[in-house]
Amino acid sequence: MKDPAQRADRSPAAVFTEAYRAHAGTVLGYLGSQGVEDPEAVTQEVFLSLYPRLRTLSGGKEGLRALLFSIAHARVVDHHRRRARTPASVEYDPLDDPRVTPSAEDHVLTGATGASQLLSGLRPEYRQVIALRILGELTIDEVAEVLGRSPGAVKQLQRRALIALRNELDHDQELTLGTPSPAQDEVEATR
Amino acid sequence: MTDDILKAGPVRQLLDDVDMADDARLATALESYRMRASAEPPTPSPEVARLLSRRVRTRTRVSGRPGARTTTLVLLIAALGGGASAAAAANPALHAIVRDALSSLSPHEHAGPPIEHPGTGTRTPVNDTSAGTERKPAQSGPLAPPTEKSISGPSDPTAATTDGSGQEGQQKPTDTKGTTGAAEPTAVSGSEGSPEPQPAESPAPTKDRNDDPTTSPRPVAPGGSDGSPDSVESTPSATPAPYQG
Repeated sequence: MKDPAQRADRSPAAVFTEAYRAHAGTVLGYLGSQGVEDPEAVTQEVFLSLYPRLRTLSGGKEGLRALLFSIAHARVVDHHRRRARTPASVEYDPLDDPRVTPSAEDHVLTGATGASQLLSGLRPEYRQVIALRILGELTIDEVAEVLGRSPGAVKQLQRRALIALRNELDHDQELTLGTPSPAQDEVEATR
Repeated sequence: MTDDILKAGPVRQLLDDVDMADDARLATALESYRMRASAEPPTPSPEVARLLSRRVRTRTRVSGRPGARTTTLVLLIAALGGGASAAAAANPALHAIVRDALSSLSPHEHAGPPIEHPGTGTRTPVNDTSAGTERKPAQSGPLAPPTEKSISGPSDPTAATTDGSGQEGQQKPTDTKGTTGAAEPTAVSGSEGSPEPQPAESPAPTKDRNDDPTTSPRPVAPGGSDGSPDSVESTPSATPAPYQG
């Protein structure tokens, strides 16, 4: 099956439609994992920026995906810069407070924080590399192009990111095994 | 199982790049992250929806372009109207209702049920002039059972179709031959809606019959061609017309 971006005879609208179907959800997940406040609105902006560049697009499926995530990454950088200049003031919501200690049920069911929250505890560049490699399915060279780094630097970054993630998982496992749940306490007390 | 899922995926590729392919816990966490982050495509904004191809946009709409909708609506109305007309045409009760309504508007133009003559028991079909080719004489003697043709006036399609021609066939000769005495009373009584026929002025059909040698003896009804139900009810007070066959 040919990729839509590889068909020269297709109209930009058709390519754009298939790109939206195939990648809008992934771009939304990428933006959400990078801490963008309104990922759905930024997803629309990303695709609006993609459309005028479809005529000069080359590289087929991989080229389309690399272009799409490079636009998305630029939006993420813009978002964080803007937020750094003008910090957003929001009302306190205890459900959104990340400082809350996970309950015993959380430990049993999903681990201490879950994979997404484990990744959110990593450094931003680690998160970016892992997200671009896994969600964007980009190669090392494409990630290097998006981030503006060399491929060697990207290799080092992804290695350090995975080591940091494994340490987070180990720490989460220690928390899960080391802290008995209240239900276990009750069972022990009845015995 | 996990190896099968991760075999060709980006997680496996990433772990291979950093030589951590044997770390199942890390692979599971990354795959979980990938599954959670891959959400459904969000609803496109109006600006993005304008750029999407028409094939996608028409899926979200209920119907197609307005021209097709109008054509479909017109065809639907025409089909419903045609069906209703066909059902009405096949309904004898509706025939009777329409016939009554038409006779109330112009009673002299529609044939009614046969008129019964009380004295002789003669039953004369009113205005049974099937284009002048089939004319039945009045039945004499005891009251004969009415034939289907004579009593099924409203529901008989042939009677309904020959009503107009029969009326013309009876009126025209009298007009052209100057038998004003025969046609005028009928027209007057019909136009005024009077139920009383005038039997004294009814020999016009007789004259008409005599002038036409090709036709068989013709039944004559008192009151001429007034075939409305009102005239049928008033026949006992009328004098029966003599049969001159």
